[in-house]
Amino acid sequence: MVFILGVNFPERNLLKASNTSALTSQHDPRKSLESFFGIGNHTSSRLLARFNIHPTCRVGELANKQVLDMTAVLSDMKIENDLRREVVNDIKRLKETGTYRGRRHALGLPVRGQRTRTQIKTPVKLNRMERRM
Amino acid sequence: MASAWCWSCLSRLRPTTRAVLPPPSAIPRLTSAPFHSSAVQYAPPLKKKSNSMTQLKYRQGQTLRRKKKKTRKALRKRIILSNPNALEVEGMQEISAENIVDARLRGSVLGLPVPMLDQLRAVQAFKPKQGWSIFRRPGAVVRRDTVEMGRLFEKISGEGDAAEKGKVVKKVVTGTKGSGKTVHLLQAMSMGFLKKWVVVTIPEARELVSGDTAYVPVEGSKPTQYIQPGATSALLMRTVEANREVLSGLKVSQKHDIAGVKPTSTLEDLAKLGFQDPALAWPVFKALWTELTVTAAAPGMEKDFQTRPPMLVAVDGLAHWMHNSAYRDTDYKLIHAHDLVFVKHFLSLLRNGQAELKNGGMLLYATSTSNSPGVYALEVALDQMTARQAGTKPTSPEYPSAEAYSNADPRVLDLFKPIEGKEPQMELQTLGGLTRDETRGYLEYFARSGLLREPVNENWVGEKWSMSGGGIIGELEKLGRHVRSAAIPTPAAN
Amino acid sequence: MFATRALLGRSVWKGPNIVPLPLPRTLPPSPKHSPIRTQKRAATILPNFVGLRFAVHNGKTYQEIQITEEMVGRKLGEYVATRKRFTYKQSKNK
Repeated sequence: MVFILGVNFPERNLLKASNTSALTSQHDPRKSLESFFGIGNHTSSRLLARFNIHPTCRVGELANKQVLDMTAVLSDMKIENDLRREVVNDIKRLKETGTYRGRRHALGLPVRGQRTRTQIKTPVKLNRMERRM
Repeated sequence: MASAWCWSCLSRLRPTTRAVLPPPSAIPRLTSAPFHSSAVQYAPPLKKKSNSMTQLKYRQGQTLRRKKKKTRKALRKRIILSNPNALEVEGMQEISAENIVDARLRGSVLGLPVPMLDQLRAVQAFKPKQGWSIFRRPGAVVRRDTVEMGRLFEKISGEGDAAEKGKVVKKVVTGTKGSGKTVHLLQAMSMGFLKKWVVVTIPEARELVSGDTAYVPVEGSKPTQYIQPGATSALLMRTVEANREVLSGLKVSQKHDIAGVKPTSTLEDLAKLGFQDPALAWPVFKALWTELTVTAAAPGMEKDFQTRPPMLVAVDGLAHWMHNSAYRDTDYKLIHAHDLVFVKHFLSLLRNGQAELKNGGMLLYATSTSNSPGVYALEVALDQMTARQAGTKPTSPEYPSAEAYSNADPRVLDLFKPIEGKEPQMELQTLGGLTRDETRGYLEYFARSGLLREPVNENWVGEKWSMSGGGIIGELEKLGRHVRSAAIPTPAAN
Repeated sequence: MFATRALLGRSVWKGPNIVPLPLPRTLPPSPKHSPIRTQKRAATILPNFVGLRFAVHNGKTYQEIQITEEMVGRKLGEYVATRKRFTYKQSKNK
């Protein structure tokens, strides 16, 4: 197990990896970096390049120094709960100032002018008074 | 007036069957038209009560068929060298140090000696889907290029009439798909082992640039160069495994800055240091390379010095080294394959006018047609090489050059640039098809292995020769297999 | 894909949509000053609007809004809804 930013990853995990739902992340050997909220393909591939790590590297292959460097960089980035909070705050601000967008968020309706006659499952699910992430 | 009888089916002319049959209400279909069996046959089968057991069985079969990912990959990469069902070919000769120059053997298939198979496996000379698994034992056909190569091997080893000890031959091997480039490399390796050369191979050039092994920047190099410790250690492992006999007989003759190297250690010990610790792999490889290319020992270490054998360097899939690799530098730009130290080392050997192999040897760099990235600059460079060999001067208007605005990679063109008057020069070897005689010998081998049922005669061979695009050996092999599957009656036909 | 949809809203070279509005001469305006009636819903809220009251047309009537610091950079129309909430009305006949 390798400790990166307070999360333990199995050594056989790929460092970079693709998007799967958060639930399977612990069992999926393919993802580590991208299991963090706010890190996708774009950021993770740049992070790897920055520390000269090849894209198919496993977590167990990392040198100690690389793990420390990676953790240092990740702790400076706005990811996970910081990022979630920022997004929620942005939406909250929209609601408080009484904009049209804020109202749509509060009503659980699509925000960006989509039709509402059919197919609005996602906004119904996500746009609540307390926004879900 | 139309009759109520259906004359064509004559169904009512069979009263006996009717009498035996149960009352028509039970099986109404049969009574309507017993002569037309189709109605019964194509009728939906009687609906059975769905049986949970049978369903389960089916599902289990599905899961069993879908093997684990790793197993499937292993199966895909598996190389089978022998088929006990094939007939043993009587009087089949083995390749040996003596017969590699024998032009009389042209067209016959020479077996690879069994002890050598381990060495060849170690350098990954065999690839899957080369058809090794259809014969009793692995062997390769002797063609014109093979005999010529055998002569070169003898020459460089310092034997025979036209001995030129220490000569370096550099060849880029090209040819159409299935023309036997990889097997040509395999034959070269087997000759190398026979002649007690040191054989260094890179069986898949792509693996070095596909971004699948670790890379480490070299401090202070400009432009930044990158070491690949994992790949280097794998190379050392391959080399030691295959050349143990030669390397264990040679002692270290220079001073090296590597911990664990004693003046008494053999080159095998030296190389082993590299694959125990990947961080050391590159320095160890360099040390091993200098050891193999020295002509004299350092002062004070002459005691155990033996002259080094010639070397064979075989690379397969050259085009992959001619473009950007999948690695990225710290600015997220793609790294050119020539900036990888490993690749650069082997490419610099190829460069015209550079004789890095001091003890002589052969460089065989084959292109691949089944797995090739398609590099325009390389195509141009190879065209230029062809033109030079045909006698066209680089100054002449017929000399091919990259098209304007084509953006041909200057680094690639520079690598293949001719340098006048300096030996050794790169040669282009284009493998074509087999001749008719060689084709005949090759197909006879199929027949004698029990794969062909047809008599191999002049007409038949001529037909197969033309069908294979003029004796392209890969196509011939396919034809041989095709005939086999056509000759054996399939169970469905019965 | 788009970097972000917000960038597609309006070309940067156009700058903000500055609309001549009858702003009060003195700032801060006197409490007696009536809200500025306007139909220019697309007018960008500029920093000097802060503290003013606008009566923005919603298609039928003029609704009053008080401009605060956070609204700067957005449009007047964003704060005045043009649609009624749907309510089901029981019809008498039938």
